[in-house]
Amino acid sequence: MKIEKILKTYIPMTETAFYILLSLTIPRHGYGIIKHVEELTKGRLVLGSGTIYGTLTKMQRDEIITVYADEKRKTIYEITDVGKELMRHEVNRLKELHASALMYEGEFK
Amino acid sequence: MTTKKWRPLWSYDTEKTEPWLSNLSSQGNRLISVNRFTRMFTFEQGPAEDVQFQVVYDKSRKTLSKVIMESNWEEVFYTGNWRFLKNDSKGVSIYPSREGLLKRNRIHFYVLAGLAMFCVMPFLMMFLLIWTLLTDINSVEPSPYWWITAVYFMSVISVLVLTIFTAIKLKAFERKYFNSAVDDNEVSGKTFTKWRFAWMYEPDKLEKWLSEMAAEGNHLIRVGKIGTNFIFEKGTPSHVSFVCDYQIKTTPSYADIHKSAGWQLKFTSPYSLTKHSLWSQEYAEGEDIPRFTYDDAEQKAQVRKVLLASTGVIMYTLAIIFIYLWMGQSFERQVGWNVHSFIEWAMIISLLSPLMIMIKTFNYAIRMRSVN
Repeated sequence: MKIEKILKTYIPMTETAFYILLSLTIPRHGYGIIKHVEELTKGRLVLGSGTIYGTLTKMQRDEIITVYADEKRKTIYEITDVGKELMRHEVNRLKELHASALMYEGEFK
Repeated sequence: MTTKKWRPLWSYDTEKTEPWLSNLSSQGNRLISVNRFTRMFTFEQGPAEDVQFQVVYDKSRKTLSKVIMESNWEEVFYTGNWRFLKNDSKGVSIYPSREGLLKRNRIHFYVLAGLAMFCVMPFLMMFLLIWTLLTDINSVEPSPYWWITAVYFMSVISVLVLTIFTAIKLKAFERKYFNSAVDDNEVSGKTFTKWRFAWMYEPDKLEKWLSEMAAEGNHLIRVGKIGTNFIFEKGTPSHVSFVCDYQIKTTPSYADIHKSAGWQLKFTSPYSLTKHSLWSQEYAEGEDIPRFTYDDAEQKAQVRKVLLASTGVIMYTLAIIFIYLWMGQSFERQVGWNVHSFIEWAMIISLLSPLMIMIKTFNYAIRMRSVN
């Protein structure tokens, strides 16, 4: 899949997709992702294994992430260069969102 | 000096092919090439090497990823989507994924199974015909085309044998590398069995029933092969969440990802397509009930998937029954050939099963509407 098409389908990213990719700064197991997202969001976002399975399957198909196995034959997920580019775009969008939020925050008081 | 070795079914049995290659390598046979069509492996005499092999099937044909190369995996030979990798380190902790290989062998299995289904019916008919002819030996005339019959028989038999072979190997492969086996509990006391039929069409009811059983101290030990008998053991009451999942198509990581999140696999239908599976997870008093998803949209999508599958089953059974009934009617009218009324009644009675599924599905849809 071309990067333009990936950007079009994934951006704006769902919270689930964003946190999954964010936790793949180091390669992790499926359950490792669930735990890490829970820590990052202080328990606000609890991902079920069905959610993780669905999202990872899609991301793997679109080559945003790639897999290998450890010595216990457990699957490990890792972000690809395409995935990194996708994250850079999304982070830029979020920065803009954040800046705008700060700029007009006062108006809603 | 080169040696050639023939291994016709190596790609369905990489569990044995990989150690075989390692073994040959330790005897000084270095792999040079593999011919995908003749299934011939060519080796060259060289110094003995103590290495482990892994065969990788990768449709994307990308170069090896950085992690794999850093873990000392080295490409010996590649052909088409196949790569033969070796590693001479002692404590290897990173392995290339076997998902591509599993997916490829699954497709081969489905094609073979389809072919086998397609062959078996005409095969049986012909077998019966030849049987009747042979028992009346005087009526048989030697035909110059007997070899066509022989070739046909041989090919049907080889398709059947190959289908069974790939099915067995595929299952073993999934169990070994993808943790797909059902989790069996140890039985310490007496067990009892309860029967449930057609629960696939009302998964929420089965989940509720099993949770209530667990709360009364009846713990599900296992489910029978075809998913109709549920075997329980009496114990202390506990909180257990059950999920009855349906997937149109599953990827290799399906079972493992749920297991790693603490789910136990209690039942699974045998194939990767139209997969029904039953999962359980214990939780403590006051904890949130574990689910596969906590997302509303995903839950709704799951309900839609189940409804779609049930509708498919209903349409399919109805179509078959109506075709038979219609055939019986037209035979009667045109040829005057009377289909036994017993068969006709049996067909009409068998209309009850799609009717029952239809009612169950309808009720399930209504219940899910009010829940979400």
